Amino acid sequence: MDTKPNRLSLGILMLGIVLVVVALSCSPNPSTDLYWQLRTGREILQRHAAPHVDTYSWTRHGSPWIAHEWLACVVFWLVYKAGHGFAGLLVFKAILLAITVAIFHFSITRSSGYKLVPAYLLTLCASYPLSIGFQARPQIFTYLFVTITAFAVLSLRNAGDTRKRLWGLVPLYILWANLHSGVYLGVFLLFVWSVGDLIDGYFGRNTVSREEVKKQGVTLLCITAACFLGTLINPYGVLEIANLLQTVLNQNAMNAVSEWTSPTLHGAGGINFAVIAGFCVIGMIYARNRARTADFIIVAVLLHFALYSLRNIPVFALVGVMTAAPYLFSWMTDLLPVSTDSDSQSISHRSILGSNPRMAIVFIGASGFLCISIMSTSVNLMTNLDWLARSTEPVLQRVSETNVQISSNPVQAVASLNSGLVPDSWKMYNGYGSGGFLIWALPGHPVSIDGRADVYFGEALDDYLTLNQWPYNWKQIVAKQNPDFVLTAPNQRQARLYMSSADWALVYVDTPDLDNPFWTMGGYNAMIFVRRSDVSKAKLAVMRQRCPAVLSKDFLTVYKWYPAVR
Amino acid sequence: MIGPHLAKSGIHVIQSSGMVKTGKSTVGSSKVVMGVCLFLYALWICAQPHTVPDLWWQLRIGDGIREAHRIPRHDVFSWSCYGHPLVLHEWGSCLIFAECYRHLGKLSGIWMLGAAVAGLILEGLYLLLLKNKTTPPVIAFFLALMAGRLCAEFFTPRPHLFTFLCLIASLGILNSFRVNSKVSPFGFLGLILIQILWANLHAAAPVFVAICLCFAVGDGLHGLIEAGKNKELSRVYLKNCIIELFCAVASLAAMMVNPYGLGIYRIFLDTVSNKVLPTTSMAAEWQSADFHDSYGRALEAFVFLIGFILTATRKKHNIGDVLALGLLILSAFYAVRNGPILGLAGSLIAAPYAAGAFARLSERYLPLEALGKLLSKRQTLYTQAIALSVSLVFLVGLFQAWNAGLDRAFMLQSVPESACAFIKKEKIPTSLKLYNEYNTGSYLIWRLPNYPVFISTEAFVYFGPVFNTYLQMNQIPFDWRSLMVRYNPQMVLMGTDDIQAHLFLEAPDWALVYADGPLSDTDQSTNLIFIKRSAGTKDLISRCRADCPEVGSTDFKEYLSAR
Repeated sequence: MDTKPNRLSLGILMLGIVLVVVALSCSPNPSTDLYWQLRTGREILQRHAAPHVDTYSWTRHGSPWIAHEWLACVVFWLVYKAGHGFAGLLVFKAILLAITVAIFHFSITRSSGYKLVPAYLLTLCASYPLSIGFQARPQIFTYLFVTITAFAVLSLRNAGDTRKRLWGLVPLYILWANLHSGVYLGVFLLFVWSVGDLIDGYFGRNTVSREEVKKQGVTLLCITAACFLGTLINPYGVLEIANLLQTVLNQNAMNAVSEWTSPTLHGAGGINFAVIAGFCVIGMIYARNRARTADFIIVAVLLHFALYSLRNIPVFALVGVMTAAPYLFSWMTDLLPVSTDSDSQSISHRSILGSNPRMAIVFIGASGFLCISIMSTSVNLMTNLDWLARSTEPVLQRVSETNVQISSNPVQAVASLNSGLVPDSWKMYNGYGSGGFLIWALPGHPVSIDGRADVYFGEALDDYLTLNQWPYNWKQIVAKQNPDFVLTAPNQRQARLYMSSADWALVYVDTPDLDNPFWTMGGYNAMIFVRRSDVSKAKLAVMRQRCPAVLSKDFLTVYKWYPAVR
Repeated sequence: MIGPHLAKSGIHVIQSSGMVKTGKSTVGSSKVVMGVCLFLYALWICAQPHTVPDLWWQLRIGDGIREAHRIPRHDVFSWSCYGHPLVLHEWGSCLIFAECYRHLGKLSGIWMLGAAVAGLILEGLYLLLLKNKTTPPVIAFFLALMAGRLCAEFFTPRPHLFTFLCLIASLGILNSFRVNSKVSPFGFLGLILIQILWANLHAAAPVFVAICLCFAVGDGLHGLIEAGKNKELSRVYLKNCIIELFCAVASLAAMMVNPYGLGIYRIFLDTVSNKVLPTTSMAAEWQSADFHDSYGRALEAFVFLIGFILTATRKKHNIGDVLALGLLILSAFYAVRNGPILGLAGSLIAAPYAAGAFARLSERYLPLEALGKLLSKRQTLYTQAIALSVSLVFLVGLFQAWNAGLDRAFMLQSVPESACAFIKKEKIPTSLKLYNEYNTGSYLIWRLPNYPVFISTEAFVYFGPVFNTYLQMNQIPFDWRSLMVRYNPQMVLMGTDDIQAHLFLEAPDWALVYADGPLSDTDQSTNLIFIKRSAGTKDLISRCRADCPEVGSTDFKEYLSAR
């Protein structure tokens, strides 16, 4: 039985969780795609059209490009422009995530029967695995809309005739389809819910209110169909779905791109995920009421997605937990019944597990976890190179630039290139992770590859991944594209290829200590190699004079064995 | 009605009021067919290509134990860690492998031993699953098959096989104690003997203790919960709790009957608490499961099956069972090498809940009940047909593997046999310090006993500076020479598939003197030998190069000249 919650306590805990999320979203968490998305947003507003072909690379110039997140690019650019750069993006991101988690927390609190503190703790547990997605990326729109979808559908089960309100999802899905192709995840979830309810309604033997469940299933199926049709209202039509399928079915990308790999339990992130997954599973196993077919399938499928790929963990932390929460709390209620009767031996609703816990507990809980989050974020910020390098800047700017970890990009090398280190006509070969930044900061030099993996599917991506394995026939692979200069970093294996080759000359390096792992603090040590056949010895000497590190005695002594430094 | 009938009918999963009773003889023949199928499955797994990186040093140690009649306590195989303390927890396995090698036809004997133990593991699991009357044979068969799949990567001649065997034997005995709420003297003696044997075959015996403790905690909690409601039941639970605690303590004590005493725990703790191993790709079995590959998918499927069984079952959960399963699942996700333990122990723990889960599933959905009725009429025929078909597939696979021989089963093409023969033939001085690859170190210990290695898969010997240096070299640092200064090797042996080979190929201060194949990126690795250039090795380098024409081949020349 739901007891009316204390509104003040509810508000304090809601505020507490929102502030925790805001604090976590300030932690350094770079998005390598943000930069090309900013440029794309700017160009869309200039041309008044979404892009259909690639113009950023020379390897895939003119090939089809499905910028499914075109509207998110525009939003990010407008926020960037209006919000004085990354500070505006940070605030925007924090607001969006706060709204997402607020809806999530409200849903969890309601499922718990307004057991405020347990609901707060569950939301907190889910926030940590969710935080791996706290980047300024179009995914944050997916997190918001998928939470709204789950909230709307789960509400249908709780309240009476809210079915008509679900049709409000359709315009939302039209918007979502232009923000991020994660909209199809929403469609898939709706479909599973509808099919699950239809199975229970038509084939379930012991389903309570079968007719009601059947009607819910049919309504949901119709809404699913409408939402699906709504997703086709985008500049690319059905091609957006084809692009999504092509991405998820590309095994090379799934195995090579780090966010598509499976989570590991050897880090804090994996352990957080294991904890929240454990809660969900326990809830489904021990629920007082038998789980609905749809709910069981949703939790199982989302758990599978999360095990398959790191980037699906936030979705599990949101929708999976929202779905499993009622079962988890029903088990908790069985275990520790809460009573409104002060004479009863069961736990009072004024206790920590009740709907009206003591204010002291509420304050301590909310402020305690908030302090911990702020402290951990502060430590993460203050040990980052960007923070250390920006001591004279205002706090918000300092936090925002550390949040995106600008120094994890080849900033200084780009400055050198922009000042004419190499001719503009030269073809640049770069790393996958830095490609997005180069598109933004070095518009005069098309890239060879960047984070828009789907643009490079095929030989371009396969060859890049092969070169990462340091093959013996690497020269033949490079010869296919024949770049004139290479921008890389010592922690990228491909840097070894050029360093060890007499055909290439090292002309630029940010820091002479090539084995210093300061990229772990958010740094980048850029290296630029030029093809010897493209330059005369005199020109090479001139290039090198612009980078004293390359000519220093210590550098030449330590790395004398490498042909590229000669 | 479903439920109690299951115990008597044996193989009926889904029944309704029109149930068909099957005779005991047909049920028995089904069990036999499925049992044979499982045994063939085990053999088939063993016949698949597996590398055996540890086997070689274990054979050499076994030979050494037999000859010297004592167990080594210090390393003598490497020059980097010579004299370091050695806790050889698997000394018993080493001796068994060495004896098999000597008396049963060398590698064939080793393979037969491995296959026999693997077969025994799956059969033992199957029999224990069948022992539980509520578990229908077809579910027992299916669970054993899935457990076999999780064990597949580890059904190689390694001490782990004995761990798997001892684990299911121990769990079988413990289960009999739990069911009867009584410790039988013979059963207890058997348990102690198994623990003693286990502690001398492999150090994974604490796994059983951990499971016992989970059961003890669960039964203790149940005992306390039932104390107010049902005193008789509470007494049973508490008695079981005491039995399980007793078994755990007795097992811990029995494990100390080994040459190292308490030191056996230290090696176990050192290995599981090592933070470096799981981060390296060369120790893949210590990493978390990758759900992109087939093993990860099998693990996921098994875990989902367990989750489904626990969710859907009518049988009341024992908290201890759930705790144990949770711990096993977490450990399997943490490190791939724990997958088999989940498969074996998890099957035994989850089996009693399985029949109720499938029965409930059929109760819930009308079409499944109809399907169940349809299947149950010819269930024996279907299960026998499936088991026979699967057996046929395994037989064909075994026949193919037989024709391919042990070379394929043990992937002998991956060992640097020719390179070792070259080193012996050229009489390369044993004073030259050999720097080698991690995974081939073991073979070099066996094949080149006079040449101490830099590192091998006896990882625990090298934990510390040597291991860390090797890992740093695997990151191919630019200034790798400063890492090597401390050790100053003069000879290097590694394959072209090892990333470090590039360092020496490109180094002008190292001379390539041997290659047994082309310089390529195919699966077939070419073994390379390098000698450090110095006044003292000039003649050696010339001589070796003259005797190895491959070194002067086109692709090597092109690669080296184009640096």
